[in-house]
Amino acid sequence: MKAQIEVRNLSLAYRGNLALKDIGVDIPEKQVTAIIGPSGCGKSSLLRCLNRMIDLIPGTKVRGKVTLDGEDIYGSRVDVMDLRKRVGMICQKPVPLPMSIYENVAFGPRLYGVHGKALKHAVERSLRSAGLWEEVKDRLKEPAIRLSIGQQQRLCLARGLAVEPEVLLFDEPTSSLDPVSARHVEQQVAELKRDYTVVIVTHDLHQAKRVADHVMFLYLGELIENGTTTQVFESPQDYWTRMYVAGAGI
Amino acid sequence: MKRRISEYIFIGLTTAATVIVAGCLIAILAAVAIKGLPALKWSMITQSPTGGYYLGGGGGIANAIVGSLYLGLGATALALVISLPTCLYLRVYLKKGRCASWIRLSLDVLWGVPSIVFGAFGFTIMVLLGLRASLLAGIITVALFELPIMIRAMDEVLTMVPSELEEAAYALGATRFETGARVVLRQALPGLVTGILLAFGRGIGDAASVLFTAGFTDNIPCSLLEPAATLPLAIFFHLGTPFEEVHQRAYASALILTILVLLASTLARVFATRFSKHTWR
Ligand SMILES: Nc1ncnc2c1ncn2[C@@H]1O[C@H](COP(=O)(O)OP(=O)(O)O)[C@@H](O)[C@H]1O
Ligand SMILES: [Mg+2]
Repeated sequence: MKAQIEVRNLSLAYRGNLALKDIGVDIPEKQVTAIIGPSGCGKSSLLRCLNRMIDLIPGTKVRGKVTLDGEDIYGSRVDVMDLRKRVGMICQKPVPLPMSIYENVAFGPRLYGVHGKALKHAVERSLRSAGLWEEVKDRLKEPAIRLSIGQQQRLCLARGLAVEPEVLLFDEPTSSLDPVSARHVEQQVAELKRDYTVVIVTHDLHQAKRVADHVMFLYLGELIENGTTTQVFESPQDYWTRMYVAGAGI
Repeated sequence: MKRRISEYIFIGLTTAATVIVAGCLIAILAAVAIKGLPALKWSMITQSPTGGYYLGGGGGIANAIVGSLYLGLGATALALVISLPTCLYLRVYLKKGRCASWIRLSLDVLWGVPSIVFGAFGFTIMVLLGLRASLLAGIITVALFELPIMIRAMDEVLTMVPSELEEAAYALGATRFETGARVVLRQALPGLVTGILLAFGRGIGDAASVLFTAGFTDNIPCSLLEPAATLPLAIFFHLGTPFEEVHQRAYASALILTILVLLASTLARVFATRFSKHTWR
């Protein structure tokens, strides 16, 4: 199985406070990798290192190496905007842009000069892959903020898909949704692995079991355990992993 | 019981303060309307002063109305062209750093500078450049006077734009410029309109900054280099005469100025709500 992203000796500090320590992991192509761990262990930080959204926080220092398709994403010749187009990110809270449903999805492709018929197709295709097309096809001109929160999250997914990324990063995409919408978004995520490499941060162990092929367990900024979902959940090697997957609050 | 009493005192004081503020506003509007309405004739709006206007003769203040509108719109447009990039720079590039707080502090100081100082500054520059008192000199001076007001008002609004929104745009590979112009500004639009309006209101109503710079004339200016009359100065000149009849015209002029500002706010509000249907929260 091919690794699309390789993380080697990755450390991250926020103004001198170490948040990630010497992480090394391979993220396989066209599979779902879940990052689990207690709150504050560095899950979001790790995710943000993968598309350099971490650069936006002042005072952060990244050491080590992250490669995407063999190319170092922290290399000096890397175009960060292009990297973020290739590695999309969907956040915890749905954040519709202040424009219509259509314009939200069209925002990304527009940046890259897509327009006219091609743009329309891109919008429809993305909304379909996000499982939202049927619900919004007659109200594309309406403000995106009028959608329900679950629909908004799928809209954010559609917006991320519209720029045709290779990798999708999800940071607890269902944690601010009601159970029904959460299930809906989760199903959509599971279907995406046919076409995309997916990394999903979740604090919901059941969700990790349902959607993930691989699981990484982070604790206090360190990668404690890493393997297939079955391995990590059924025969964890590490003491802390065993405690965590057993549901003991650590 | 003690807590009950302090609660009553608190409610009493806050209510009194609110009533006083609202009462002042109503009193001002009422005084201007009651004193001004009788003198407000159609000819005041449509005609420029004739020879004996300020002695009680015929004519009107069309020159000052048009002059003020030219000046207010021109200055606000000029101030906007400078404010918008400045605010974006503050919000998107400098954020909350030390440099940004210095800039904000100096703008606050500038906001507090009396407009007569801007007038004197504008006059100095005018003399240096060899300009006469003119619409152009007035526009530049009033724009300078409006700048800190506009920038700080807009800056407050832009600071309120949630950073998640910016991140959403960055995550799609947008540059800072694209994020600022297409997302942050769009979200802040209704508030920005309010900021522009605030500056416009202050600019069009200010007398001291145009006293030396825009001059005064009985004609409607036909070019930027001609002097221009303004409503605040017209009011001042009306009140400076010894005639009761002319004093009444001062109130009529004040009424016209007030209506202009109210009209501008209403229009801007309508415009802003049309765009705010997309904005968050
Ligand atoms: N912007 C930031 N500035 C400083 N420290 C931060 C910042 N974001 C996260 N941290 C710290 O980094 C650690 C990991 O945080 P995070 O990656 O958000 O954890 P998780 O997503 O697993 O809850 C925490 O100790 C947190 O306090
Ligand atoms: Mg997190």
